[in-house]
Amino acid sequence: MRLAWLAAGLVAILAGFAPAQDPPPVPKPDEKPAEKPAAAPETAAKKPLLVKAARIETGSRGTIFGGAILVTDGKITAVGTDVKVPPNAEVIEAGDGVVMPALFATATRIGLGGGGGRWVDIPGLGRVLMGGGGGGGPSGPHVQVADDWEPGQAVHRRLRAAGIGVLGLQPGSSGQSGVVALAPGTPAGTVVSRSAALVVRFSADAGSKSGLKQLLTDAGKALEEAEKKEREKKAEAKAAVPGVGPGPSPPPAPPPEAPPTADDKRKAVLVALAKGELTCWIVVDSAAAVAHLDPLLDGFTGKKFRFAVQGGADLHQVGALLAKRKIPAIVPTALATVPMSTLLDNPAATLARAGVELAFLPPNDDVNGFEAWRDALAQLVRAGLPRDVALRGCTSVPATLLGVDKLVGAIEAGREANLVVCTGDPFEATTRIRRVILRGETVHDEP
Amino acid sequence: MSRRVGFVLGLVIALASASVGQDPAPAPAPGKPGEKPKPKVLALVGGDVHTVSRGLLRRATVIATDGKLTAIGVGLTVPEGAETIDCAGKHVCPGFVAATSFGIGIAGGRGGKVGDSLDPFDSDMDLPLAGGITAVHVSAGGGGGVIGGETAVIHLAKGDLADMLVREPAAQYLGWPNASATDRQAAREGLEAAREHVKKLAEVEAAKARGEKPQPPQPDGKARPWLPFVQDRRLARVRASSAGDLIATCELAEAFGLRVVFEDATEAWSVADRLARAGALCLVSPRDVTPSDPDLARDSGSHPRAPAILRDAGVKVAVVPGDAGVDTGGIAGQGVQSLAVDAALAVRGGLTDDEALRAITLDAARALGVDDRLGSLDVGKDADCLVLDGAPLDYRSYVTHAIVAGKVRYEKAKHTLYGGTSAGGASTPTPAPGK
Repeated sequence: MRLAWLAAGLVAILAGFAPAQDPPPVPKPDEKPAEKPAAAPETAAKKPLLVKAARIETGSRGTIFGGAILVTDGKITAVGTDVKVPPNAEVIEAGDGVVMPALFATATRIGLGGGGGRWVDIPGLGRVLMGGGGGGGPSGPHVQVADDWEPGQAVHRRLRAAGIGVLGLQPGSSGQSGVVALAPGTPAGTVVSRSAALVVRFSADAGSKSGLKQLLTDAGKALEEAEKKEREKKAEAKAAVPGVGPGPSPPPAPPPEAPPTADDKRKAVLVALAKGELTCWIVVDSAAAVAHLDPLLDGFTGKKFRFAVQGGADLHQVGALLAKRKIPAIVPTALATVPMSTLLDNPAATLARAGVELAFLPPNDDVNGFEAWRDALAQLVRAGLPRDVALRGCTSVPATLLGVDKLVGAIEAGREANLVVCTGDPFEATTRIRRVILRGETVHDEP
Repeated sequence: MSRRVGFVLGLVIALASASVGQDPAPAPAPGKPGEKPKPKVLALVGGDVHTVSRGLLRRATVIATDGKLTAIGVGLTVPEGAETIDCAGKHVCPGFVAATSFGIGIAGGRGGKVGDSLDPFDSDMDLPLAGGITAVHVSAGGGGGVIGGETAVIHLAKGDLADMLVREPAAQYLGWPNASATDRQAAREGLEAAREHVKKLAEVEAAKARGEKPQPPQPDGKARPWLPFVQDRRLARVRASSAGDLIATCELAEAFGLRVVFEDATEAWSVADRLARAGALCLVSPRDVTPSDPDLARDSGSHPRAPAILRDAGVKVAVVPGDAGVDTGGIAGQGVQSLAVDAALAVRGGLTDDEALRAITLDAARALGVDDRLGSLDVGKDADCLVLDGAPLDYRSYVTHAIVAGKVRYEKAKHTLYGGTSAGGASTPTPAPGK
């Protein structure tokens, strides 16, 4: 792998010397010439931040009363009632307020444009979203929606003011989900994960069924192949140890590793899927589709796949099925009515009672939907959804499903400092958001 | 045809039919892993049981185990652990079979097998269940020519995907009346080829019986699409309303030994004898009343007396809902909500109560090709039954329980549909035991 990065670096340097064919992109101040893997952005050495509040909703381990959160270099370094205050810390006193994790937009396409749109530089206009408008864009396991991520849009400012800190970007049809931080930064610097889950669309028809079966079978085969190669490598390495092995002649040096091809990348995705490292995120169009999914999954029991099912307001009808297979559900934040009646129904509460882990989507995938998200969740709580399920469903659970729970999603040491300071209980309609801190920086402040 | 060849031909056809179409396996009852799952038993105790096949059993019990009927009779012992429904003062009958399709129970777009697109959560299932319908015909689509699309039969097994599919394919559309002259010519050639192939098969069987080792014959391309009809005796479903179309199809059916069921057979009553000779089944809607066309030299139109006229001629009749709508409007809710009313109209037209009940149960199942599984309360058939608070064809009766594949899928007391209206219903007084 090292060779690949060296080669890429060389190419980048050479490209700098090559004759310019297109107008060069507007240089950004903190962009380095060589590509770096997605990592924490460089923050100038800042003072540590201490946030004190009467109530801290951690989002993963319940409520802390009268505690504090210590933030250093954009990360949470300590949470609790006995946090040691460094002498030079900036203190934010939330008083009677409540601090909660910034919300995690579980699966969104906000700011990505209608499928297939790409950001291009137009001289005189700047960066513009072009194309798209249908078809969901390119699809397949190799597609990464993080390629379409463009931070700094006007919508993002409004999302931050609404307390959203992280976006789970979803491909238009099928492909790999990405996780990006809404903290200010470059496109590369704000990507938290390029390969967070593999999205597959599934309906009650023969085509979907054979497609999913093929994907899971291919993943199993790719894993077997990879494990076989590992074993062979280990056997070779063992044979190369002096004293062990057949003859006195020195073994040949192992060939240098070639850079990954498109097929290698695809296989890597399949292997991660088979190992359960990458969630298989199945978007269904009806509860009936889940009923058809159930017997299909029987063929893969005992394998390490991790599934999640994203559906609509009727998903509670298959709650028992999902609970039996321990498959989490991603559902819209909405109440429903019992068909042919004027009875109100709370599908999320039904699923929670059945034992299904829940992550929520806002009422609509647009700015108004996100701004109303807290209030919509409050209505679910009022209609019987346990409070902590509502809170975790928009913070730590989506982070876990997208494989980034060690990085974002809850107020815990080691995670990014994404905090929302409210004047009271986040579900109360009277509560205002006072301040939003993302990666340790205040991005929204009440005047 | 010599008698021996005829006998062997019959044997071949019987053997071929026995191997046609695998029905899906019923869902097993869940239990602890490694342990044989406990059987799920449902008992309907003490009602007036209309078996349809063997008459009325007063104060009898119906027992279903794992979705199939296992015992029907008087004075049965209910096994321990059974779910019991007290039917004293109530009526029990087989679930009604709707031999026309409504697009219920299917998710989204078609194309492909019905079994792949079933929707066990379709809320449109509630109204038909409340009206007593437990199984419906579904058209799989496809096939525009003379050989049409296949059809399937599904249970309205709300909530259980595994219990929904009864049979696919159950029958196949035959587009004979509207076929062009060239299509008809091609069809006749195909049928001829298929008939030749079946004859050859019979000769091969006869040769084997004599101890020879003949070559099995290969059907040619022309014959192949027609083999299901000719060799497997698959039901051919034909849309033919006018007398002329019915007669034309009968002629084809007799020429090639096809089993035919006529959909929307409005004028069937006017050619009843011809249909009886061809052994055809008819789907009629007694609710349709069309006056006879004065410009035609013959009788036309339709009226509630149609089923009785057909019965008198010896034609098997299934009564189908007046229209395919799922709604609560119109007379008693049109369509799927009032199949019992349509059967009662046939009584007005001259059928007996028993014949009318059979027209929406066993004869409807026969018209769909699933009478071995549905349509009557007989041991071994699927446990599709209704509990009603009055006689099945009494206009005041309500379905109190609709049982599909051994499970209660609709319970009037628990459903919101009739929550705002009065209970209604009247029980037929039953004589004291011993009388």
